[in-house]
Amino acid sequence: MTDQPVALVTGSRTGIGRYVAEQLVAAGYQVVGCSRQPADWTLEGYTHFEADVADESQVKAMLADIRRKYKRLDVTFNNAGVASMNHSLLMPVTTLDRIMSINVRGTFLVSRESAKLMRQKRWGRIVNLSTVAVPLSLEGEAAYVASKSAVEGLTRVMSREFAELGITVNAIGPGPIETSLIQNVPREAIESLLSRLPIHRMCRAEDVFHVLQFLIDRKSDSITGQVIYLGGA
Amino acid sequence: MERREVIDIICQVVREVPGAPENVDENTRLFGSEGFLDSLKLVNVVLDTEQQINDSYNLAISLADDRSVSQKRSPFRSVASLADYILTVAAEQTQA
Repeated sequence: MTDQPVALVTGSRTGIGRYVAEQLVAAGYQVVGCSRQPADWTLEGYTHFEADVADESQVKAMLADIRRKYKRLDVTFNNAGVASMNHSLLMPVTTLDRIMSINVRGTFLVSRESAKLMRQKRWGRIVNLSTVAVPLSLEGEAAYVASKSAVEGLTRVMSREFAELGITVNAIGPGPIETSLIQNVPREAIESLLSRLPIHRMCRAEDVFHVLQFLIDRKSDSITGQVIYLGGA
Repeated sequence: MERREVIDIICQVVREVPGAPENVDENTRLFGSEGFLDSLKLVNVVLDTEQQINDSYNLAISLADDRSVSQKRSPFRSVASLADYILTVAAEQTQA
């Protein structure tokens, strides 16, 4: 077994996932990341998998590889996710299916398989990504909000189920961040969302990593089942 | 996959559980009436057994599915019934 702590970051090819993966490597973690496409960056201490988090066999294969190579998993950050801005009356059901599949099924599968590995050391930290769009009931984001509400539900129930295994499960709900997820969202919609938060600025990947660091800290072992929103939502 | 080997794997897993009987064999009761496992210990036995089967036979099986938890006679009631269930699942999987 490696002495280095091991972290899994999903959706690590770009955006928040990439930033968090890089920061965890800098913090001394052996980091495994994944995305559906190959990563166009490399880093010592970072291994990339081409895996779809909604595909059970691919998730199982990735976790089996982590078990074989490192024999441990300390942290899982369920970051992979998709969104689509559209009025419910105009939303194709295939869009709903795609969002639910990646955001909910993916978080469920990766968490389940991670916990199987974490329970062997009776220690682990699972952190899911939610959004301020949930407490704001953001118009135009029905499928995304529904999927992230489900992620928050998984967070709360799994926190209870995994507590006896020494695993905490929490979620971070940031406001809008400049990533590919919101590149097609009109500027006015972003401004309107920010105006509904006490803190009107865009979120940064650093804000997310700051809370993540707090949640995965050894001393945070009494914090589980919580959703921490950024921006004051 | 031989029944005897599967029973040995399960016994090995069960012996590691805190509170396991002194002698574990295929007649050892696991879950339900006269079983010594609570639900969390059962989860651990099921997952450890799946993992051992995976390591020994390079076969990824899922033992806790809708079928197993809804069976009238639970496959988790004893070492023997769990071994038989594993053989059934493994045979179906290798034929698929």
